[in-house]
Amino acid sequence: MNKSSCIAKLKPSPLDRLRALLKPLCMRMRLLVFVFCSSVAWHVSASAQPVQDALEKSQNMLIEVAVNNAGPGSLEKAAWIRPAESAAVLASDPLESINRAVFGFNDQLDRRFVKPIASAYLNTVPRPLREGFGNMLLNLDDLVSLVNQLLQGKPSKAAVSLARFIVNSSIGIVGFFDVATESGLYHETEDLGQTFAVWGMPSGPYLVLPLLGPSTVRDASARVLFQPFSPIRQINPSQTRYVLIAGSVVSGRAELLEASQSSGLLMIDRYLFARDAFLQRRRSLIFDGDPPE
Amino acid sequence: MLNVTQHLIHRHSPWFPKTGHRLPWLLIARSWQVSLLAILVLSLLSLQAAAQTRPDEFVGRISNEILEKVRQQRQELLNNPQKLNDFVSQLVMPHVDFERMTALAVGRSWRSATPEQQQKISLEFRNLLTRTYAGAMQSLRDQKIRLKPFRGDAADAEVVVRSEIVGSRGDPIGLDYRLFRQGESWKIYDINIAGVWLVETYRNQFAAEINARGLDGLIATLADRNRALEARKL
Repeated sequence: MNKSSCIAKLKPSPLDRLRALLKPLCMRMRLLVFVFCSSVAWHVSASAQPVQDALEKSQNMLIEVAVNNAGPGSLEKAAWIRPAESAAVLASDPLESINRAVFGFNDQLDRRFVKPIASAYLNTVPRPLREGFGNMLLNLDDLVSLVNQLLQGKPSKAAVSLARFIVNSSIGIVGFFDVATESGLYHETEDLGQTFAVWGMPSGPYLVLPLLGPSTVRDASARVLFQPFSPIRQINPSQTRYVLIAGSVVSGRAELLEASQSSGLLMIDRYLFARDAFLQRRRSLIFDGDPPE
Repeated sequence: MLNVTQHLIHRHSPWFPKTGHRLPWLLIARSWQVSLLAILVLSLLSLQAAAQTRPDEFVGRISNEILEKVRQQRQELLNNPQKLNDFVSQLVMPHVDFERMTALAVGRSWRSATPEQQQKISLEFRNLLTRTYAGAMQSLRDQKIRLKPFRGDAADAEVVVRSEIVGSRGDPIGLDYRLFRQGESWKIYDINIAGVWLVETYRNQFAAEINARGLDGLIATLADRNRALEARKL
């Protein structure tokens, strides 16, 4: 059997055709999107600074007023009003109306399709298999972390990621078993958005992406740039790749579902909850779990 | 100094100092030992004195206690949500200052609230968080708590203690606490899970609700949520 007949047998899927159609545009478009986004991020953060200063000033004034009006003993109470010393999460959300619409769309999509599939996956597939699949995806993610840790100038952390990848790919059988974590080498999430942040690019306004969820202008642009290089996209044949990508979505959602069974009701405003939690989490990731107070 | 050593050391000893001699090395060594011992004893004493109030030890003690108890009666707690809630409110909640936590989350409107409203919000928020905590406990299995080195000053009135939950797979999950001193002990007033501070996450939600419907609106919403959660669980 020669090579050409083999290739002839694999019919390109419709998704493949779509990709082939878009391919010549792709990288240039991605670069363009990135340049646009980064300029937006720089511009907005430059204009957001006075707003933040004013916010801080008004809060200080409020405390002063409280102390002056309420007499002795109120200093303690006034200190309660002051926001806890975590750095100001960007309170301004200029795209809120659009974001809310996209968030609603994502939410409906999640409720109608992704969540039912994820809970079915959770109920049918036994835990060891689920964890194994999750570990395989995490193993690919180690490669992403490795590259970004090198870009951020953290060679010792990169060495850990490399060791994880080697150990898990060989002893852990293509990452199915997470042997490295058991021996004390922990995974750390690093992506291109974090690298840009470490390099000093401001986050820009909060952005909810359709299908992909919470993001910021910086992270979205990094995502657009990084997409063609992500390890999961290098897998051939394309059918396997699409199955794996769909699988990663389902398994990620299932893990979330398992972690929080009743969290829907715990939020008063789901959009605000998601936004504030995402921005804080992101900040913590950028500073490797140790953001300045 | 020389006179003292002449009294301490026997005349026939080879170390007996003669006039014009330097101090014998053995004595110098002994004085070193003595001072080292003194330092050790002193530091141990001071450690023991501080042991009652060190915030990281406080956090480590409670979290290990809770993990241990959850492990012992895991199945029982999973089967009975009411019991899980009681468990949380008995073991965890005494260490948390809810008034302060709620005040921080409500922010500037807290001062304009009547004491009655303040009490109601605290109560509802407390119930909500108890349920959150109980829900998080359900997914607890073989994880361990690992304290990170404490970098603050244990003498401060307010400190941050960092720890992480280490499981058998995936990233360690950060679990930090903000504590303030209360007498000999400490009280928790904010918790950070995976980089997300609880109070900060609720602050904007509370503010939006208060802007839209006022303080009573917020109380009503919180009460609604608690009722819905209770109906679903039991």
